[in-house]
Amino acid sequence: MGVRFVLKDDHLTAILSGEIDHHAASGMREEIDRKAGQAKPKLLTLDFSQVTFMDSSGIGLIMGRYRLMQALRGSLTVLDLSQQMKRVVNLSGVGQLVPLENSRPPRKPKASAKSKPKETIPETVEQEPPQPEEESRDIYSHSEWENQEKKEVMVHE
Amino acid sequence: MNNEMKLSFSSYSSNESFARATVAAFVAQLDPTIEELSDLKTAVSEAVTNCIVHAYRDAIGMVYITASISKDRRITVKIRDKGCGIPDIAKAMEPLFSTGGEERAGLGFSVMESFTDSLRVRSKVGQGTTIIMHKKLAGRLSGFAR
Repeated sequence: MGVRFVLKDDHLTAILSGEIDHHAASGMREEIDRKAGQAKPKLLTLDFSQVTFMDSSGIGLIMGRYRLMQALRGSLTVLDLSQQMKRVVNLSGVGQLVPLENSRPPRKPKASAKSKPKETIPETVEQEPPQPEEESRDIYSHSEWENQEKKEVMVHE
Repeated sequence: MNNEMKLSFSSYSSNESFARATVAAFVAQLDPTIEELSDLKTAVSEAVTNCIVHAYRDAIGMVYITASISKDRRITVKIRDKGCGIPDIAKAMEPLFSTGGEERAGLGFSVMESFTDSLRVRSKVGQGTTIIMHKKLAGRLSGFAR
């Protein structure tokens, strides 16, 4: 949990990790503001790739850093929000002020079918057969696994 | 009879993750999808944060959570405080309205509304606030008790 920083020329990246709620956000905010105040970057990126949970405190965190970067005459980008986090962020208008970027295709095959412009595999592969991608998600006993085939389909709904 | 659990804890902000994780752990026996679980955790987190930031603004009080699950996969979560209460509930529920300072987005109730199926708010100034949220999980082929 916390924030790591990568500073490259005028570009500061704050890599957030763990859960972002009201409690965690206040510490992250202080760390980012201190570092950005020292480095005075032209571009600040908030990297959410290692965040496992976010409630509306994350919106406040993004909005506050947007204002900070305006005060520093720089700009802000937000990287790698998960689908859940995007749903939270989309309740606010913050996506209109701050670019929401992705560094890698989304994890789920369903969503990635659209957003893989460089895909060279023939189209037939994109038919999305029900893949057992969630095999790590829990704890069925072996006997239950044998009855799993139908449920695998439902898992994606 | 429904399957129910009760939880009470002091309104320290460090308990926010404990509260949502505990509700999630209780509900896990219904084998929810990851999305359903994360929706519920987000809604609980918002309600608990309201107790901590608003209800007990200048003090530490107790937050009470009752969660129940039914055989038809309905989840009810009640989150109650004995804090200051909300003078104007409609105003408090307006998106972007906040009395919590500029780091608060004013979207707590919006998140609760959009991440659950129904939300009810009861409040009395000086006595406290109760939030009741319902969420119905999608069907699974095998049911209740695993």
